[in-house]
Amino acid sequence: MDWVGRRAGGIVMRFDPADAQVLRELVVAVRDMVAGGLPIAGSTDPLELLLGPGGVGPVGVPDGQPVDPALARLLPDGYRDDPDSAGEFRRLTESSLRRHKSETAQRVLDTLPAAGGRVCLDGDTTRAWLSALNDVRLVIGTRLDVTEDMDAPEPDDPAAPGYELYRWLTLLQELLVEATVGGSPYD
Amino acid sequence: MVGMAGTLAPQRTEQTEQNAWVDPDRPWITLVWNDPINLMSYVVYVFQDLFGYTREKATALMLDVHYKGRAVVSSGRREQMEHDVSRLHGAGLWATLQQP
Repeated sequence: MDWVGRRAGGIVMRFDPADAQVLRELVVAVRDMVAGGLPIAGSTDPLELLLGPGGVGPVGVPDGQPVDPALARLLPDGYRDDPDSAGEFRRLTESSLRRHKSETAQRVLDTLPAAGGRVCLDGDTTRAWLSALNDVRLVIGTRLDVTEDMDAPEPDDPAAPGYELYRWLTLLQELLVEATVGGSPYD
Repeated sequence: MVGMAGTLAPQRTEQTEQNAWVDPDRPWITLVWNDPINLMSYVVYVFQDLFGYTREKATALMLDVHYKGRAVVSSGRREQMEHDVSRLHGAGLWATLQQP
Protein backbone atom coordinates (compact mmCIF):
# COMPACT_ATOMS: atom_id res chain seq x y z
CA MET A 1 0.00 0.00 0.00
CA ASP A 2 1.48 3.27 -1.07
CA TRP A 3 -1.00 5.93 -0.22
CA VAL A 4 -4.29 6.81 1.44
CA GLY A 5 -5.93 10.17 0.78
CA ARG A 6 -9.17 12.05 0.86
CA ARG A 7 -10.91 13.36 -2.24
CA ALA A 8 -14.28 14.95 -2.89
CA GLY A 9 -16.84 12.20 -2.42
CA GLY A 10 -14.67 9.74 -0.54
CA ILE A 11 -11.37 8.03 0.10
CA VAL A 12 -8.75 7.12 -2.48
CA MET A 13 -6.05 4.50 -1.85
CA ARG A 14 -3.34 3.09 -4.06
CA PHE A 15 -1.97 -0.41 -3.64
CA ASP A 16 1.12 -2.18 -4.94
CA PRO A 17 0.16 -5.38 -6.77
CA ALA A 18 1.92 -7.52 -4.13
CA ASP A 19 0.19 -5.72 -1.25
CA ALA A 20 -3.20 -6.00 -2.94
CA GLN A 21 -2.64 -9.74 -3.36
CA VAL A 22 -1.69 -10.24 0.30
CA LEU A 23 -4.64 -8.20 1.55
CA ARG A 24 -7.07 -10.09 -0.68
CA GLU A 25 -5.79 -13.44 0.62
CA LEU A 26 -6.21 -12.31 4.22
CA VAL A 27 -9.72 -10.98 3.65
CA VAL A 28 -10.72 -14.18 1.82
CA ALA A 29 -9.42 -16.23 4.76
CA VAL A 30 -11.47 -14.23 7.27
CA ARG A 31 -14.54 -14.32 5.04
CA ASP A 32 -14.34 -18.11 4.76
CA MET A 33 -13.66 -18.41 8.48
CA VAL A 34 -16.82 -16.55 9.51
CA ALA A 35 -18.91 -18.09 6.74
CA GLY A 36 -18.23 -21.62 7.99
CA GLY A 37 -21.50 -23.50 8.50
CA LEU A 38 -23.61 -20.99 6.61
CA PRO A 39 -25.48 -21.74 3.41
CA ILE A 40 -23.90 -20.25 0.32
CA ALA A 41 -25.77 -17.10 -0.65
CA GLY A 42 -27.83 -17.64 -3.77
CA SER A 43 -27.20 -21.36 -3.90
CA THR A 44 -30.11 -23.61 -4.82
CA ASP A 45 -28.29 -26.91 -4.34
CA PRO A 46 -29.98 -28.49 -1.29
CA LEU A 47 -26.84 -30.35 -0.27
CA GLU A 48 -24.75 -27.19 -0.50
CA LEU A 49 -27.36 -25.27 1.46
CA LEU A 50 -27.27 -27.93 4.15
CA LEU A 51 -23.51 -28.34 4.37
CA GLY A 52 -22.34 -24.80 3.79
CA PRO A 53 -19.11 -23.82 2.03
CA GLY A 54 -16.46 -26.51 2.02
CA GLY A 55 -18.84 -29.01 3.58
CA VAL A 56 -17.79 -27.90 7.06
CA GLY A 57 -20.88 -29.28 8.73
CA PRO A 58 -24.60 -28.88 8.98
CA VAL A 59 -26.13 -25.50 9.63
CA GLY A 60 -26.61 -25.76 13.36
CA VAL A 61 -27.97 -23.37 15.92
CA PRO A 62 -24.88 -22.06 17.67
CA ASP A 63 -24.87 -22.17 21.43
CA GLY A 64 -21.39 -21.86 22.98
CA GLN A 65 -18.42 -19.70 22.01
CA PRO A 66 -16.34 -20.97 19.09
CA VAL A 67 -13.40 -23.13 20.22
CA ASP A 68 -10.93 -21.26 18.01
CA PRO A 69 -9.87 -18.16 20.01
CA ALA A 70 -9.61 -16.03 16.87
CA LEU A 71 -13.12 -16.95 15.73
CA ALA A 72 -14.35 -16.43 19.31
CA ARG A 73 -12.87 -12.92 19.17
CA LEU A 74 -14.79 -12.19 15.96
CA LEU A 75 -18.01 -13.63 17.45
CA PRO A 76 -17.85 -12.73 21.15
CA ASP A 77 -20.40 -13.43 23.86
CA GLY A 78 -23.00 -10.70 24.39
CA TYR A 79 -23.23 -11.35 28.14
CA ARG A 80 -20.51 -11.82 30.75
CA ASP A 81 -20.93 -14.28 33.61
CA ASP A 82 -24.36 -15.29 32.33
CA PRO A 83 -24.00 -18.39 30.14
CA ASP A 84 -27.76 -18.85 29.65
CA SER A 85 -28.31 -15.33 28.32
CA ALA A 86 -25.04 -15.51 26.34
CA GLY A 87 -26.18 -18.76 24.72
CA GLU A 88 -29.58 -17.38 23.82
CA PHE A 89 -28.09 -14.16 22.47
CA ARG A 90 -25.72 -16.24 20.35
CA ARG A 91 -28.56 -18.40 19.02
CA LEU A 92 -30.44 -15.28 17.98
CA THR A 93 -27.57 -13.21 16.58
CA GLU A 94 -24.55 -15.31 15.58
CA SER A 95 -25.71 -16.25 12.11
CA SER A 96 -26.53 -12.63 11.20
CA LEU A 97 -23.18 -11.47 12.65
CA ARG A 98 -21.38 -14.11 10.56
CA ARG A 99 -23.31 -13.02 7.48
CA HIS A 100 -22.56 -9.35 8.17
CA LYS A 101 -18.82 -10.00 8.50
CA SER A 102 -18.78 -12.20 5.45
CA GLU A 103 -20.58 -9.56 3.36
CA THR A 104 -18.26 -6.87 4.71
CA ALA A 105 -15.22 -8.89 3.62
CA GLN A 106 -16.77 -9.50 0.21
CA ARG A 107 -17.29 -5.78 -0.22
CA VAL A 108 -13.54 -5.24 0.18
CA LEU A 109 -12.82 -7.98 -2.35
CA ASP A 110 -15.27 -6.38 -4.78
CA THR A 111 -13.46 -3.03 -4.57
CA LEU A 112 -9.79 -4.14 -4.36
CA PRO A 113 -8.40 -5.16 -7.78
CA ALA A 114 -6.15 -8.24 -7.61
CA ALA A 115 -3.60 -6.33 -9.71
CA GLY A 116 -3.56 -3.42 -7.25
CA GLY A 117 -3.86 0.20 -8.31
CA ARG A 118 -6.39 2.83 -7.35
CA VAL A 119 -9.25 2.09 -4.95
CA CYS A 120 -12.02 4.68 -4.53
CA LEU A 121 -14.38 4.30 -1.58
CA ASP A 122 -17.68 6.02 -0.80
CA GLY A 123 -18.98 6.29 2.76
CA ASP A 124 -20.56 2.83 3.06
CA THR A 125 -17.62 1.10 1.39
CA THR A 126 -15.16 2.94 3.63
CA ARG A 127 -17.10 1.63 6.64
CA ALA A 128 -16.86 -1.90 5.24
CA TRP A 129 -13.12 -1.54 4.65
CA LEU A 130 -12.48 -0.28 8.19
CA SER A 131 -14.52 -3.12 9.66
CA ALA A 132 -12.97 -5.82 7.47
CA LEU A 133 -9.42 -4.59 8.14
CA ASN A 134 -10.24 -4.67 11.83
CA ASP A 135 -11.49 -8.26 11.56
CA VAL A 136 -8.24 -9.33 9.87
CA ARG A 137 -6.24 -7.60 12.62
CA LEU A 138 -8.38 -9.26 15.31
CA VAL A 139 -7.61 -12.69 13.85
CA ILE A 140 -3.88 -12.13 13.38
CA GLY A 141 -3.53 -10.25 16.68
CA THR A 142 -5.27 -13.05 18.56
CA ARG A 143 -3.10 -15.68 16.86
CA LEU A 144 0.04 -13.68 17.76
CA ASP A 145 -1.30 -13.05 21.28
CA VAL A 146 -0.39 -9.36 20.97
CA THR A 147 -0.35 -7.05 23.98
CA GLU A 148 -0.52 -3.27 24.07
CA ASP A 149 3.17 -2.76 24.88
CA MET A 150 4.75 -5.81 23.27
CA ASP A 151 8.19 -5.50 21.65
CA ALA A 152 8.70 -6.55 18.06
CA PRO A 153 9.97 -10.15 17.89
CA GLU A 154 13.58 -10.77 16.85
CA PRO A 155 14.06 -11.23 13.09
CA ASP A 156 14.73 -14.98 13.48
CA ASP A 157 11.61 -15.47 15.64
CA PRO A 158 8.99 -17.60 13.82
CA ALA A 159 6.39 -14.96 14.77
CA ALA A 160 8.32 -12.15 13.05
CA PRO A 161 6.63 -12.36 9.60
CA GLY A 162 3.16 -12.45 11.17
CA TYR A 163 4.05 -9.51 13.37
CA GLU A 164 5.27 -7.49 10.37
CA LEU A 165 1.99 -8.24 8.60
CA TYR A 166 0.06 -7.15 11.69
CA ARG A 167 2.03 -3.88 11.86
CA TRP A 168 1.35 -3.18 8.19
CA LEU A 169 -2.39 -3.77 8.64
CA THR A 170 -2.34 -1.54 11.73
CA LEU A 171 -0.72 1.29 9.75
CA LEU A 172 -3.18 0.83 6.89
CA GLN A 173 -6.17 0.92 9.24
CA GLU A 174 -4.78 3.94 11.10
CA LEU A 175 -4.32 5.86 7.83
CA LEU A 176 -7.80 4.92 6.68
CA VAL A 177 -9.39 6.05 9.97
CA GLU A 178 -7.50 9.35 9.79
CA ALA A 179 -8.56 9.94 6.19
CA THR A 180 -12.17 9.06 7.11
CA VAL A 181 -12.56 11.30 10.17
CA GLY A 182 -10.09 13.95 9.02
CA GLY A 183 -7.00 13.97 11.19
CA SER A 184 -6.08 12.37 14.46
CA PRO A 185 -8.89 12.08 17.04
CA TYR A 186 -6.51 13.29 19.77
CA ASP A 187 -5.89 16.74 18.21
CA MET B 1 -23.67 -1.57 8.69
CA VAL B 2 -24.80 -4.39 6.45
CA GLY B 3 -27.81 -6.39 7.46
CA MET B 4 -27.39 -6.25 11.23
CA ALA B 5 -30.52 -4.46 12.30
CA GLY B 6 -33.74 -5.72 13.72
CA THR B 7 -33.03 -9.41 14.29
CA LEU B 8 -33.99 -9.54 17.95
CA ALA B 9 -37.06 -7.64 18.91
CA PRO B 10 -39.82 -10.26 18.46
CA GLN B 11 -38.09 -13.02 20.43
CA ARG B 12 -36.95 -10.65 23.17
CA THR B 13 -40.38 -9.27 23.87
CA GLU B 14 -41.46 -12.65 25.11
CA GLN B 15 -38.29 -13.10 27.18
CA THR B 16 -38.75 -9.74 28.87
CA GLU B 17 -42.29 -10.61 29.83
CA GLN B 18 -41.11 -13.86 31.41
CA ASN B 19 -38.65 -11.89 33.52
CA ALA B 20 -41.04 -9.09 34.40
CA TRP B 21 -40.55 -9.63 38.13
CA VAL B 22 -37.01 -8.18 37.96
CA ASP B 23 -38.42 -4.71 37.24
CA PRO B 24 -38.37 -4.31 33.50
CA ASP B 25 -38.09 -0.54 33.80
CA ARG B 26 -34.64 -0.66 35.36
CA PRO B 27 -32.33 0.33 32.50
CA TRP B 28 -29.81 -2.00 30.93
CA ILE B 29 -26.32 -0.87 29.91
CA THR B 30 -23.96 -1.65 27.06
CA LEU B 31 -20.33 -2.01 28.11
CA VAL B 32 -17.29 -1.92 25.84
CA TRP B 33 -14.20 -3.69 27.18
CA ASN B 34 -10.55 -2.90 26.59
CA ASP B 35 -8.56 -5.14 24.28
CA PRO B 36 -5.01 -4.85 22.95
CA ILE B 37 -5.89 -5.01 19.25
CA ASN B 38 -8.52 -2.37 18.50
CA LEU B 39 -6.93 0.98 17.64
CA MET B 40 -7.85 3.96 19.81
CA SER B 41 -8.66 6.02 16.73
CA TYR B 42 -10.87 3.25 15.33
CA VAL B 43 -12.80 2.91 18.61
CA VAL B 44 -13.49 6.67 18.57
CA TYR B 45 -14.65 6.38 14.95
CA VAL B 46 -17.00 3.48 15.80
CA PHE B 47 -18.57 5.34 18.75
CA GLN B 48 -19.22 8.35 16.52
CA ASP B 49 -20.45 6.28 13.60
CA LEU B 50 -22.79 3.95 15.54
CA PHE B 51 -24.10 6.31 18.21
CA GLY B 52 -23.71 9.71 16.60
CA TYR B 53 -21.61 10.93 19.54
CA THR B 54 -19.46 14.04 19.21
CA ARG B 55 -15.74 13.46 18.82
CA GLU B 56 -15.25 14.78 22.36
CA LYS B 57 -17.73 12.33 23.89
CA ALA B 58 -16.49 9.42 21.76
CA THR B 59 -12.88 10.19 22.71
CA ALA B 60 -13.75 10.39 26.43
CA LEU B 61 -15.48 7.00 26.25
CA MET B 62 -12.54 5.48 24.36
CA LEU B 63 -10.12 6.78 27.03
CA ASP B 64 -12.30 5.22 29.74
CA VAL B 65 -12.18 1.90 27.88
CA HIS B 66 -8.43 2.18 27.51
CA TYR B 67 -7.47 3.32 30.99
CA LYS B 68 -10.29 1.94 33.17
CA GLY B 69 -10.77 -1.26 31.21
CA ARG B 70 -14.38 -0.61 30.22
CA ALA B 71 -16.97 2.09 29.62
CA VAL B 72 -20.75 2.32 29.52
CA VAL B 73 -21.49 3.46 25.97
CA SER B 74 -25.30 3.33 26.01
CA SER B 75 -28.22 2.53 28.30
CA GLY B 76 -31.90 1.84 27.91
CA ARG B 77 -34.25 -1.06 27.22
CA ARG B 78 -32.81 -4.54 26.97
CA GLU B 79 -33.80 -4.96 23.32
CA GLN B 80 -32.05 -1.72 22.39
CA MET B 81 -28.90 -2.76 24.28
CA GLU B 82 -28.86 -6.12 22.50
CA HIS B 83 -29.12 -4.22 19.25
CA ASP B 84 -26.21 -1.96 20.27
CA VAL B 85 -24.08 -4.96 21.32
CA SER B 86 -24.78 -6.61 17.95
CA ARG B 87 -23.71 -3.51 16.07
CA LEU B 88 -20.54 -3.17 18.19
CA HIS B 89 -19.70 -6.84 17.52
CA GLY B 90 -20.26 -6.11 13.84
CA ALA B 91 -17.59 -3.40 14.09
CA GLY B 92 -15.24 -5.76 15.96
CA LEU B 93 -15.47 -4.20 19.42
CA TRP B 94 -15.74 -6.36 22.52
CA ALA B 95 -19.14 -5.42 23.99
CA THR B 96 -21.63 -6.94 26.45
CA LEU B 97 -24.90 -5.87 28.03
CA GLN B 98 -26.10 -6.21 31.59
CA GLN B 99 -28.67 -4.85 34.03
CA PRO B 100 -26.67 -3.21 36.82
